[in-house]
Amino acid sequence: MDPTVLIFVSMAALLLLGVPVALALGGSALIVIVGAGLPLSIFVQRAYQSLDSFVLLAVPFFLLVGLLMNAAGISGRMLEFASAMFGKSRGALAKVNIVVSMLFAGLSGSSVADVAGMGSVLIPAMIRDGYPRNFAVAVTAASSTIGIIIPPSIFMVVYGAVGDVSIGALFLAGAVPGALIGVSQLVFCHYLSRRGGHPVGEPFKLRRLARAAQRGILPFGVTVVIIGGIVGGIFTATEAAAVAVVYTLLLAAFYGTLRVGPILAAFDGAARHLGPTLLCVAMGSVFAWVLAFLQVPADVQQLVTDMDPSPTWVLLFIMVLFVVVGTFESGVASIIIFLPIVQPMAEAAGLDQVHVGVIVCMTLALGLVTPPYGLCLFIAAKIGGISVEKAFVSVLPWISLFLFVDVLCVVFPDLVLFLPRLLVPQFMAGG
Amino acid sequence: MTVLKKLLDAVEAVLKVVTLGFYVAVVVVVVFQVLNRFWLHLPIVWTSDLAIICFIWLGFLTAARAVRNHGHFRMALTLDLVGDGLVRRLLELLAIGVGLALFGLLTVKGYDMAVRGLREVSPGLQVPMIWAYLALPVSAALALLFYAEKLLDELSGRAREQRARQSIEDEEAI
Repeated sequence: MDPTVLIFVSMAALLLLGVPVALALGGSALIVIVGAGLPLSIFVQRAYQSLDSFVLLAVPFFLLVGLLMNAAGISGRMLEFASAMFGKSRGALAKVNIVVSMLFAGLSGSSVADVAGMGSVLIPAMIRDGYPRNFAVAVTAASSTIGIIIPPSIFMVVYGAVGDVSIGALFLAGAVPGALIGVSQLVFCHYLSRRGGHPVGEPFKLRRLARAAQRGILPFGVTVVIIGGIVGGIFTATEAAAVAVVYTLLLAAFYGTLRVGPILAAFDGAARHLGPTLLCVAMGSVFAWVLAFLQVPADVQQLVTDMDPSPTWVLLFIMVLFVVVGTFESGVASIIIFLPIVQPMAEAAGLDQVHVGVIVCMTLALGLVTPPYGLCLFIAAKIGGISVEKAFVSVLPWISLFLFVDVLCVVFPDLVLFLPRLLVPQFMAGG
Repeated sequence: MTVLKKLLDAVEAVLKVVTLGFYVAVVVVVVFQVLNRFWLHLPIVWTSDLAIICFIWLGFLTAARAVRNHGHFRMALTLDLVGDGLVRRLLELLAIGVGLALFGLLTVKGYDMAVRGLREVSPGLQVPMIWAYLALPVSAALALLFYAEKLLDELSGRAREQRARQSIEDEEAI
């Protein structure tokens, strides 16, 4: 069999047969390495070198920040702040849920920390308030996707590290799309809440908002540190992320919530997520090396160049590809498997790699709420006590909304690229 | 049998503490790097080297740990479809087989690489690279150990009982 066919077929077969993703990547790469008579030491070298990266070091830090925020009760302050915003409007608590996801997104790099932390407070609160369970679960799951789009973002760190794209530029480019998703969800939520006669909130009080804002302002130092630090060229994304960890710990000490048990549990929780993610990176890097050895990226680039399609169609194709892939795979695995193909495609079509990176990460955020592999949907459904099938049906309209914004960002590149071109032109190609 | 379980529990407990140590270390080293650049101005060039070495240990060791607590992502689609009969056991054996093969390779070839690392010196830290390279074979050997346990559990039918218990718990949770 042609080795190019062999590697893809064996990988897909191993995945379908339930072999863990990282091992399926490594296994299929190994088959081709052995078949082609290449030295086995290549395998070990690539696996090792993939983690020999200061950029990738940002992943454990960003994983940690979100969990530390939960452990130190800082998430609760965000919630107070968002709760004071909406007053007696219909569906106030649902809107709070969305806004809190946007706020949390600016502090944390992962969506899972958002659902697990905020969802376990907000879903029961919404049900107590008289919201339908399905609705509570759908809003929580749908809004959690914002966590990975608004910077910082673990997907973007992995994308930038593996695909050699500036993480600072990706972060800034994600800000506008993330805000668009959030605002469109708020509008949609308002419409659904009026139609469904969902509960109203407590009367609006300026004093309460002011107090909550005062109590909730300090955590946003994290956002300032990360974005300001990178834009100002003060430090790299990795350094910014490490400083954010320390800032969060200092904040917990300042608030008097620095307790050893929960902090260690946060470190341990992050370590549990870290291993699988990094093994995917390591095995995926061997896989990508074999693809490059087989000239697959070059062939793809030649193919797209010959077809000479419009850049927008190429990006729409990439988007659809990741919608499909994202339903089956974890986001990190999807990025690693398909980056060696997507980047040459984008290159041949004359697309901006930052634009492509943001669209890929955004689209993969959607994968967090689409079964069979929809981690955030599973967690939200479990907290809300409904079946995954029911939760999926309820989240479908939100998915359509998300896809609409996603397509907007594909068709109008300026929505994505405006901010990084303005603030970090030095990180942009041709800038 | 229970002796082996207890031994592996102990290995896992040690692993938990060690990974925690590396996790704290990467934070401290990178923050120190920032502080040094802006305030201390000590003539130190090895911080990013040290951070990366700690990170590599952290990454591969946590990957090994995840083998024991079922942390590695897998597609549940087919597994859910086939029930818990012979097919499921064969699929589990396949996954274990791939795990044993890959981590076996990483252990043996990783050890060779580590030995070569005796002669290489890290540019910033000026220590032999074996200290960094060892992360791979050591972690892979631990993963191999955990996969061997899985193999024994699967062959003895204990893994099947565990899965049955787990699915009852899941249903009770919903």
